[in-house]
Amino acid sequence: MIKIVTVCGAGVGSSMMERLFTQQILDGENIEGVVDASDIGSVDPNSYDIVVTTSDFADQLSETKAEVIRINNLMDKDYLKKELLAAIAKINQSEEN
Amino acid sequence: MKILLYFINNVLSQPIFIIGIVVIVGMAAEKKSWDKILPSTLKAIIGFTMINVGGQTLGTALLPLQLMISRIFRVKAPNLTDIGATQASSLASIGTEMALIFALGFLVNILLARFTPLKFVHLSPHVSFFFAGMIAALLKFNTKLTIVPLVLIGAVILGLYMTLSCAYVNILIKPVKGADGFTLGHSSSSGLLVASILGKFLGNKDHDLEKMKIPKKLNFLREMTIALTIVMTLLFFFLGLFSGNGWIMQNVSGGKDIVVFSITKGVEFGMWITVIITGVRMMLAEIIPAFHGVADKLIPNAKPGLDVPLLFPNYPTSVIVGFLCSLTTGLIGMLILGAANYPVIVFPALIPTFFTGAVTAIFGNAHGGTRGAILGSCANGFLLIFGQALLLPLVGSFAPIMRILSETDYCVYGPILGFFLKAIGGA
Repeated sequence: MIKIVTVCGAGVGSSMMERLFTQQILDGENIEGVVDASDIGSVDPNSYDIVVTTSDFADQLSETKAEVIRINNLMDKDYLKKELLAAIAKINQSEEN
Repeated sequence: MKILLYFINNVLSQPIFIIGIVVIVGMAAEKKSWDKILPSTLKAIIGFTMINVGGQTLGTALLPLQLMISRIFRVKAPNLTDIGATQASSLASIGTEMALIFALGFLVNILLARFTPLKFVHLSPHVSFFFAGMIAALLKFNTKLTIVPLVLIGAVILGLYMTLSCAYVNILIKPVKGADGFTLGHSSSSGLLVASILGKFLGNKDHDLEKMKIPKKLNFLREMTIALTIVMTLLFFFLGLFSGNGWIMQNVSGGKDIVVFSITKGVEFGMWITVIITGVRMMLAEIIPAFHGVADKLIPNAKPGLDVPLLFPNYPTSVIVGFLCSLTTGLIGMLILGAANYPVIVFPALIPTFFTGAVTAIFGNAHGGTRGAILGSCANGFLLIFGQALLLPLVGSFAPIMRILSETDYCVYGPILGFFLKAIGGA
């Protein structure tokens, strides 16, 4: 069960959309996971496996063990998919070791 | 028949049931099972209640601003509208109409995309939800319409607004970087029009504002809650300074000096904003996928109208500069209105100032470089404050929400619609 959070400034607009795209990718790949949307002010990255956000917010995230995916073209679903699957593979690998 | 009437009067008159029904219908259309629908529906209703309570209480928290501004400018207008007086029934009195206009307005937008050449689908429900509220309030408080015609007329107005704002922003957005394949569905559209025109005729595209790098340290201003808390604290502090510390301690703060008072008030403001935004998030988290689902099914070839922060990664400097420019002119406008003894106390609505300020600077910059960005976002600040001043008396119990959420389109189109309704005699 992978836990993912999408982050933007207010947590209602673009992060909500990224959450939807992320969920679609997970469903398409039959990967079990929950996706939340949050704002940079209140998010706790450590309670998630993966954080999806833009570069400027990625710099502001507190130190975290979570995989951070930086995406600057929020409409680029292919890039998101590639990065997501890579991050999930990485997490699965570290769990096996 | 009796049962139906009972149902309408006792159940459907409660906005939370309407919101619930909208979520259930939306999720049923997505073929979700009841174990998903039930929690989502409850979350949406709790979210709506948070917005309602947050809006009411925030209005009360802002009361001291009214006292201070009246004191500084010695406003003695005979019909000074009291912020507190409109608190009682904030969303409750128009919530039902608001929720229905919100749902049906989206359908009008879909139908227009389906059957006219304007193939745009407005996918920012957090924008259209509050716009629906403004339309509901304008119709309710300025006409004698009963609920059915009110909702139908409101839905047509909202649907037209959603489609047309996407359509003209689609033309303006051409020179903006990183906006391929989408337009904006956002209530800053009238400000974008003004900023683009100012940039085009008075600016120079070659002086790109983004060449100027602002210190990375200023990035914390991108954190909404933090930026707004700081600005609000400063606003309370400076108004307190002009009102006089002694006067404040005696009449407003219950004995706290202005430093302590302004910090507690600023933090309080940040907290209620967080409550409202969290409410919006809880309410819409479940509705947004349904919106996307319906749009994908019915109009797969439509261009989506999305939220403004999608453009922010490419324009970090414009975002901060735009916010500060709009805030500055908003504060100037506030002082002008105070000095002119305007009967309604207004102060800049900070969330709108942030988002519309940022995006008007982006468009101003794309059409006319640095000068375009500054002119555009400064003009936007004036539109926000003077428009809000005209809008507040027209929206009755929705005023507290409009004090904190009225973006440029609310301030421009709201008064136009309101005065039109008044002119045709409130038929």
